[in-house]
Amino acid sequence: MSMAWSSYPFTTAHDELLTPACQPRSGAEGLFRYLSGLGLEELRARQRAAEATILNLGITFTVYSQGDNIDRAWPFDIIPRLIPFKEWQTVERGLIQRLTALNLFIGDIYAEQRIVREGVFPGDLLAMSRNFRSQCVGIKPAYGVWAHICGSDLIRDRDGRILVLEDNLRVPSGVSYMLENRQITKRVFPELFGTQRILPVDDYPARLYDTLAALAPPGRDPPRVVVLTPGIFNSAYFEHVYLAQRMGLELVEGRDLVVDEDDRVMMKTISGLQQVDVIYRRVDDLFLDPEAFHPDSQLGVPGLMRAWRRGRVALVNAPGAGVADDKVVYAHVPEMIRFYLGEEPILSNVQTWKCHLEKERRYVLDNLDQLVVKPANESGGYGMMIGPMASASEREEMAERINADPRNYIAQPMISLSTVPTLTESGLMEPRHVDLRPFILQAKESAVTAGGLTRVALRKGSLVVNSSQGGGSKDTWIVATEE
Amino acid sequence: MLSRVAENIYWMARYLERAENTARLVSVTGTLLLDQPGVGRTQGWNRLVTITGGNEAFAASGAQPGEEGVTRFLLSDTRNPSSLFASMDYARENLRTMRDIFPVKMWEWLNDMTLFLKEQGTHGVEAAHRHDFLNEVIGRCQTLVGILVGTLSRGPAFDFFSMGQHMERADMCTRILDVDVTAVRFHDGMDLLWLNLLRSVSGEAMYRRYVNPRVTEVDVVTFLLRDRRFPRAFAYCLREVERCLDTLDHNALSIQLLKRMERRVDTQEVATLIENGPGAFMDELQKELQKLHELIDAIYF
Repeated sequence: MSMAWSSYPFTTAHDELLTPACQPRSGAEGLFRYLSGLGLEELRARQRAAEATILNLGITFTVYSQGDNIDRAWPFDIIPRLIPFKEWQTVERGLIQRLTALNLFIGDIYAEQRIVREGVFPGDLLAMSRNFRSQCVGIKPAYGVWAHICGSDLIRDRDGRILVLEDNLRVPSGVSYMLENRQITKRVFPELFGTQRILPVDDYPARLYDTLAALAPPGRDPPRVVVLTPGIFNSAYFEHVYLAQRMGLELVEGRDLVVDEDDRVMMKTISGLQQVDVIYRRVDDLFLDPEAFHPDSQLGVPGLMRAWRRGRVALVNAPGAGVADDKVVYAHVPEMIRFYLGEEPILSNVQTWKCHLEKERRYVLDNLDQLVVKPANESGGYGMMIGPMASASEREEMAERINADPRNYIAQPMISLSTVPTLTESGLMEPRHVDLRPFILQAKESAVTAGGLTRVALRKGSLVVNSSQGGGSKDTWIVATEE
Repeated sequence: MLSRVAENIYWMARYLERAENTARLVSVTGTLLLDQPGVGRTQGWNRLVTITGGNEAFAASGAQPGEEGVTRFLLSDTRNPSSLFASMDYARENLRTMRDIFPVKMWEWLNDMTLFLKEQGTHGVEAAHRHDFLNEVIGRCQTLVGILVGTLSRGPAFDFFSMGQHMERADMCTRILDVDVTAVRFHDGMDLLWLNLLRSVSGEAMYRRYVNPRVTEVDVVTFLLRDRRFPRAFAYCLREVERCLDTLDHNALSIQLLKRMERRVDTQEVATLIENGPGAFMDELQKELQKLHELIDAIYF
């Protein structure tokens, strides 16, 4: 039985595989033909095979407060999401431009604050930022880079334009799932990889290692690089293990490290203490060092900030990088690009109203039923309100919160995320909304993953793609077309 | 290697080995006891609880003595920290924190193993299915060791694994040899008892080939205590622990202790040991093993 696309229930959103006339978009012809030929029955069988593979490989993510059973199988949809290579090249340049400007911004903020003095960025925003770390003032990390690993969330609007929704500069996660998704897809659709030119993603761990190793203090060759995890109860623990293993590095916890009287970071091993040069830390700033931040943190290493400030060890991302991981700062990125680089932004932001500005706040409060309101400093979709879907009392509550702390809120129009055909639980092919998180590496050189992690809202009509809230993922293909 | 990781590996190996030993012990005992009359059969089952050091936990669990209560307790009861299911769970939890150290296949294996145990539930424990179930468990455990021997680089991870594995085996060996000989002596089951010992460590064929085609008590005990070629004999296990320790720093004290234990085992007159009942001697060996464990713990973990 071949696939009847004619009954595909288009929404008003942009579909990434099909034009409204039910024809494949440019670059997607091969996938379209292949899926059509396979038919729904066979696709369902392959979906089941993929799910069995995930279970057997133990690809999991962790959900907080699920009692004993904290590991859940990774929800995955086998229909890949596809982006033409030519378009991707532009996105890639846009992302590197963006991260370059963001790193200049962070460095500036912890130094002379030129951007504030010249009136491009309001200084009072900084004073109120929860992610500004006074401990970082005056530090000059290698290559002037603070955020070495960035995960930016991209969406495609109704008109098919790719926009940046947010930048994650603290400890972005998801890249291991991008790599695993490709492994699964290769098992499920081996035939397609023979006929299409799909950019490989598997070099990420090697690139990440190069980025980390480049940051070692001078004279430490080869450097000792480790991955620091908060431990097994962290929601991204699977990824910490995965990356450490793929790079062949030790996965350490805070209790494995000590800082000695010479401010060197040492790890406890079976042959005594060994010096550590670079720490890819997957622990939030505030838990890094109980001497400098939360005194009761069990996850951190006393004295780590001292060691970092003295240049004895590189921390990746650098502490304080999160100052730019803030939805209010986000709203200023286009100005930053113009200010630091003298260039026009290649990628646009989603239109954003900043609640600390009275005029914009009034607009937001008057249009709460139309807008999506987000707290400036939360991730994972926590604390946000989707106006058109919220009840009157939820909107009232949000209005109160905005008035109490306007600095902490931004609003954006209801974006219609693009859709990709997805096999539903009942075994039908229906459009589901997706976003995309590419990962950008920056140290001596910059690199962008070929594609990234496509997250998909598996519930019909839902726009929430977070895995903690019913989201799943798809493999992402950057496909070269013959020209 | 991180101290924390070394400790985890060591314990994971012990849990895995314990699980395999328990499976083998229950399987062998079940088959042999079919040849025993009523009372002896119940006693035979109860002895397994003693061997695995579970007397207190067994009493606390409220399980009934005899086949059903004992097999449940040893296999599927997760309140018994040494049960098959509990050991596998511990091993999996340990491996979760160090998946980066081992071949990917190992995690797949252990993940699949826990799924298998969950699936089989208490069903596999019932008398009618038990034999197949335990065979499957033992086979899977051997697959794991095959994965490690075949694909894990010889280095600290392998050595700490092997150390845990052989410490557990040595301990098991002293436990199964801790036989109340006087109790069995007046029954006809003497030969069966020694055969049971051999089979509990899958050693029957190797014993017959390399030691004596006939099963005699002195030869069996000598084989289990002193053999240096059979990988589940006490002396072999000590040698392997010593080999592992040899690769590490600060090993003088623990190797000294190992040598002392080896000498003890080699100089002990076996016929006398059997005559007087091996209980006291085995207790002492267990205490020495515990001392060795504490040394390893203090120096490396």
